[in-house]
Amino acid sequence: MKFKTAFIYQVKRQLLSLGIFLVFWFVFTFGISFILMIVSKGDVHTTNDFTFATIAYIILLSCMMMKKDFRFFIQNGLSRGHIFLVNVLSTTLSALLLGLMTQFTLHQFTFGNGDTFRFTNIFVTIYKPSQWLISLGLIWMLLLWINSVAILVGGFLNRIRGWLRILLIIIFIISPTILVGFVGATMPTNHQITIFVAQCVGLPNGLPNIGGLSVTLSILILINLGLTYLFNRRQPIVRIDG
Amino acid sequence: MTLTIAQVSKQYRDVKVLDEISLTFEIGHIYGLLGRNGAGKSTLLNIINNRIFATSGTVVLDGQKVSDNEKALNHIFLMSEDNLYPDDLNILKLFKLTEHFYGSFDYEFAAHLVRAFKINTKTKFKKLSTGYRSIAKLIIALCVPADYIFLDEPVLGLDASHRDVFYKYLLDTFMKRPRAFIISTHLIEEITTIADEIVIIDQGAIMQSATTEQIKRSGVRVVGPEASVLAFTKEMTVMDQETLGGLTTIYVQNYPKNSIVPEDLTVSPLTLQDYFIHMTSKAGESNEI
Repeated sequence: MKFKTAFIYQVKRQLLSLGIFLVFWFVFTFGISFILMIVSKGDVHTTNDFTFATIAYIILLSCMMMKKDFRFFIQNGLSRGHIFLVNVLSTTLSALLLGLMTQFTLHQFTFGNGDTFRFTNIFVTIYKPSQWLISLGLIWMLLLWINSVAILVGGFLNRIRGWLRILLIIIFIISPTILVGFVGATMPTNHQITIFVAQCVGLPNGLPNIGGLSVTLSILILINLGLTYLFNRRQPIVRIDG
Repeated sequence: MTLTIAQVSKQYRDVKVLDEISLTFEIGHIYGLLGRNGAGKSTLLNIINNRIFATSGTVVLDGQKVSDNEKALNHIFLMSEDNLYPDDLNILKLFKLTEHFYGSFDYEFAAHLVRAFKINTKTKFKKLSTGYRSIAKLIIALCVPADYIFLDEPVLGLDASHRDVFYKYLLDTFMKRPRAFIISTHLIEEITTIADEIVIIDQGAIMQSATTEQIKRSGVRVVGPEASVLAFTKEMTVMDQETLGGLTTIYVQNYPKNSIVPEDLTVSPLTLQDYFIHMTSKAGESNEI
């Protein structure tokens, strides 16, 4: 009862904010592009990248949920475990819808032999997925990963305060250097590190490999969600007003 | 159905906010939870209602741990000063959501309250004044099907007339469907008329838990010349002492019923507010005038 209500409530609110975001984005993008086309009398090639707008939206969505919905759900007697699950499921759905919108936009809104006006997504451009569904899966996973990073950062900032927060941020900043140094010491050449990183990001030998990237993203999403769960497991309501 | 708080403590770094609090709340009573600012009342209510966690101890509802347990949490509800409701929803929407979360909602009683308080249910929460926010939250609290309703400073921002309406409807709904209401407030005289049980918290510990009548009967003020007052109250539990001009006043707890009062002394009963003030007066707060 509580879980279902919370899930429906959150999905409805996400769909509403998704609708508002898309309307603003389309109006803004089409507006600018058409003004440019009219001013140049059609002699212009306009490309609009969908990636950063969707990333910004999914981060905003995560931040909103982390604060407002958590408080509302606790007021109505939800357990923290269910709140976490509701967040994961609803953002998974939102990310899927956003992925579908991206796919639809990439394929439908192309004018003038696809050269005059078109939408792009930087990841689709890099990884060149061969099929529509693979392209959707790629965008969806990327959005889920970004969302998992956003809720992890939100959970971290909510739960960890004071000197421990500063210490962990410093460790996080210097950890890549330490990691590279450690890996460098255990691997014979820097070349192997490059190969390893390229495989992780799905670009071995400079050629796109969505499978490799998907494995990396899946692992990162699971780690992020696991850490977020640990942060939220005993998250208190912090008094704001009153 | 019994809600048991067993040895609950809460510590923030070096500060012990609650110190092994043990209490039992039963259905069919209205409890007044009294304490000075910072006594730990809100902390206790927040622990019971799963908003924060106790450092040690447990809150149990009929043998089930309450913390993060939705089944148990469905029987309890906290209306607090803090606003945990989304600002952009109107009151009617909040009623509907509360119904879905708790399984039912007393719309008929809510309609009475809406009329009595003259609140527009189509108004968004963020557009309401502090008083009307309290009213909106109170209506929800009185209409949820929960068995334990915790009200933390429920009349905050309400004028005397609205407070009167609230107390009237609180008693009305309590009579129709007995529940346990636990009301934390600073308006002691107002709670005296509706609460049948009083719990006094001071510095994170339970100072007293008794019926309102017992507390009213147990506290007296003894006034007279200092030597006489001190001699008379020598064997009694003294809560506080004041000296005004040549007269000394001693506030006594658990006053023996059949005491023979010397002629130069006056003994008078304490109001609950006086009882509370003198019971919780802290060392260093001199009563010497």
